[in-house]
Amino acid sequence: MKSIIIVAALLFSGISFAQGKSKEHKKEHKHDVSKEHDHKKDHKNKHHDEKTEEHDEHKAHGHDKHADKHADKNKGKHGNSAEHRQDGKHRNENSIKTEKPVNDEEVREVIDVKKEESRTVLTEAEEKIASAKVKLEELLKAGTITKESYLLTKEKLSALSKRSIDLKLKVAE
Amino acid sequence: MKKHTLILAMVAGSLAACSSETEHVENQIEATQEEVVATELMEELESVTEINDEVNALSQEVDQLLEEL
Repeated sequence: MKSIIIVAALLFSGISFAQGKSKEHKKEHKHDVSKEHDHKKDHKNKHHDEKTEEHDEHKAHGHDKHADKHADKNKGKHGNSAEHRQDGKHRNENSIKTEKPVNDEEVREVIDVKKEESRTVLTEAEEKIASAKVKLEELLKAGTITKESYLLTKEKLSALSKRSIDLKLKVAE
Repeated sequence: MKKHTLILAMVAGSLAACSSETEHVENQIEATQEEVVATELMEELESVTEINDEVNALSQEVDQLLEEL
């Protein structure tokens, strides 16, 4: 009887000890992983933030400015420059929104937003390339440009078109 | 009898230790899997950001060419 009690006590203490140790391990490990992950995220986010800031700045000074200029130029023709500007603003808002992803879900959201943005910009670019090709043909017919200039521009447009297709494939991946 | 009790206690202790170790390894595997998913996602985000930048650069070039025309 005595020995049974001893065995039971030993068994109980052994299991309790093991469970306590396991919980401690779990806690410790989870803490380590989150810390390590946070550190990695911080590092990557820092890098990403820098890139986004740079990109936004670039956009603000370059692309969007240019888009505004282009929209203003065509104001009389289309009358949708405000819409264009709003679109650009929306894009910038998306970039700001996507600055600091905290968890996996947010990262996935940012990826989806960026992919969608790329698709939209690519579609617009393709449309512009198509209209540029038409314009080029018209200019050649009207004799406004030389054959050499025509060929050079056509080559540039083909290269841009190819790049656009490649990028579309990359986005779809 | 004492000997048997000791052996039994040792076996029980070993089993408990094994169970603890198994749980620990399982936790490690789970944590590693989570980490792998997070790393893959960050890599994907980086790649998508790069593509996005390239797309914007292309768009700028197209605008420029159109303006030149």
